Formats: sequence, structure tokens, C-alpha cells
Amino acid sequence: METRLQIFAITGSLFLLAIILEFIRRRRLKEEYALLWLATGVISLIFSLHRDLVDLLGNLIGIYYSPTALFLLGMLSVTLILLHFSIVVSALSDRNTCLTQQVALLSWQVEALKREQSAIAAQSSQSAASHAEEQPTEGCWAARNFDND
Amino acid sequence: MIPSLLTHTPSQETLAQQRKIVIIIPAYNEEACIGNVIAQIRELIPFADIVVVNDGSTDETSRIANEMGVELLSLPYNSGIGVAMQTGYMFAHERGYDAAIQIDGDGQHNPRDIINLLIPLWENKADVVIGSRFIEQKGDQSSLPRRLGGKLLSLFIYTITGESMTDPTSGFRSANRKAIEFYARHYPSDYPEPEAIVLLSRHQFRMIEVKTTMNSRQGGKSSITFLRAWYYMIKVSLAILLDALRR
Repeated sequence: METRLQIFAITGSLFLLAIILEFIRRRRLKEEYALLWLATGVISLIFSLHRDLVDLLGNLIGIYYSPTALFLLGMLSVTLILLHFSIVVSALSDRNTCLTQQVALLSWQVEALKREQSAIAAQSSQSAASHAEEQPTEGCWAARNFDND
Repeated sequence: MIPSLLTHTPSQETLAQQRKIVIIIPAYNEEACIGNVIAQIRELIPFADIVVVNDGSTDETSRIANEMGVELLSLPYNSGIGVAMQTGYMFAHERGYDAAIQIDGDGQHNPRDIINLLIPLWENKADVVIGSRFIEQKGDQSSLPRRLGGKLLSLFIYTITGESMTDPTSGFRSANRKAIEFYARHYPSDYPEPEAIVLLSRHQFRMIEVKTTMNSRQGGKSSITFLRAWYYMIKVSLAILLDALRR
């Protein structure tokens, strides 16, 4: 690798790391989701600092043209990150479904309570009226209220 | 009304009235039919509660259901038939119903068959009863490719579970208390009917089919178009295979 290329690679890696860290700092990126990105940034920094490592890696897995190893590494980390995202999205959609269902059930309950309440109100105003006629001093809360008026 | 459709012993009728029964109608844009379906069910099975699960309809479905005074569960947005059905079963479980019937809101299931779906539950012969249009070749038999697809699914389900179901995609079913509780916890999401059979069989639920007649659709559109049919078959097969691997 040429020195110019190395400088470029180092700058690139540092830039990537800086962006990731900044997003974490601003709480735009949750730590648990940033882990893989951070790992990617750190690994790419390591490989750009030690160019021998690229050759070593290439030899290790039998790649003739060692820079290809870099592509492989990049693909691998992107794949891992995407897989991670799919898992996260699946969990999110499960929870979302659960919330959706709870919203439907709860709003049914709210409606049911409302109906019950208005039925009670209708009943008590009815009994209030009849109580008011017969025994003004006695009766339920609604009846007393009626007297005060 | 009821005695006329109950060819069984009169005690069946009293039994029916003693138990808490809920009829769950999942509905996505079914304004054309839902009112009719509700009215028919009311007339035939007056002792059952009716729940419409409105799966984020954009038409008048929920207004009609509301006006007819049935219980209405409204999902805030379209979530798919499986999620809607499960919401209905969660409701049934929470309110302690003895039996639940699921019936389509598009009028293709005949409410007259509901009682036949309930009887095996009362006789404790099954936990889940599935209405099949293929046991007796009457009524709408659906198109040839669909029938073939259904046959393929039946064969597949038979290979995996040993259950022989002639109409595995039928969404006309009943469930007893035990099955309701199971559904409230586990219900497949996308095209749930065949997968539900596999899940139930895996958990040793007893299932039987009874014959029902299907009307051709009174309105609305089938959720399964030609292109989707392929997706349907692949998705369902995959889901069934995965369920088999899960244990």
C-alpha cells in the first residue's frame, strides 16, 4: 500500500469513528446498536495503521491479491450489521404488534366504561327525580345534590 | 329462529344459552357486507356476543359496526388478519368466554353453520372445529388453482402433523376455552390459518372438520390475488416447516 493511500485510509477510519462517537454522544444512536459500528470503525483503523496486517490476513485465508481481503472484511461487517438490524426490527415489530393489540383492547375498555358510566348516571338521575318527589331528605348522592339545587 | 336450525336435541339449545359464546369477525374494509353478516348472526345466534375486529379499515366498517351495537375492537392501523384474529381471541380470553367462533366479514361463510361448529365443542369431541367446504361438494368450491393450492397444503400439513384437513385455509372455525387461551398467546401473523393447524397439532389440541357451505363473496375483494397466491404458498410452507423445526 502506498503512503498516500494509508493516510487516506487512516483519515477515513478516524472520520467514521468520529461520526459514530458523535451520534452516540448526542444520543441519536443507542450504544447497543452502535457496538457493531464501533467495532467496524476500530478494525478499519487498525488495518489502515498496520498495512502488514492486510497481507497477513490475505495469506491466512489464501487470498492471492491481499487488498481483496479488505473487501471481504468490509462485506463481512456490513452483513453482520444488517443481520443485527433484521433481528432488532423483528423484535420491534413484535412489540409493536403487542402494543397495537393492547391499544385496541384498552380503547374497547374505555368505551365500555363510558357506556357503564352513562348508564349509571341515567339511572341515578332517574332515581334522583323519583326520590325528590317522595322523600326529599333521603336517597343517594345524586338526590342530595338535587336538594341543594 | 333457533329451534328451526337446531336439528339436534333441545338440550343443545339450552346448553348454548348457558355458555358464553363470542363470535369474532375480523374486518378490513368490509363495509359492503359486514352489516348483513352481523344481522344474520344476530338472528340465528341471538345468545352470542359479537365482536368486530376492525383491522384499520379506511371505509365505513367501524361506523356500521358501531351503529349495530356490536363490540368493536379497532386496531389503530392495518396489521394483518393474524394480528386482528389474535386480538379477538385475546378479548375472548380476557372476558372469559367458553367458546369463540371466527367468521369472515365478507359473507362467504354461512352463519347457519355456526351451530355445527359449536356442537363438537359441547360434546367435548374437539378443541377446535374447522368449517370445510370440501367435505361435501356443495356451495362455492372456489377456482381450480386455489383448490389445487389447498390440496397441496393439505398434503403438506398431513405429512408434517398427520392431521388430515380438507380445507386448511378455512377461516371459519370455533375454539373452546383451552384453544382460546392458546391463541391469545400464540397466533401466526401473516396467513395464519394453515399455520394455526400445525401449531395446534403440535400442542396436542384436538381438531375436527365439519362440513360448511361457502357462498361466493357478496362484496369486497379477496385478500389473495394471483401474485400473492405464490407468496402465500411459499410463506405458509416455510412457516409450517419452521414451526416443525422449532420444537
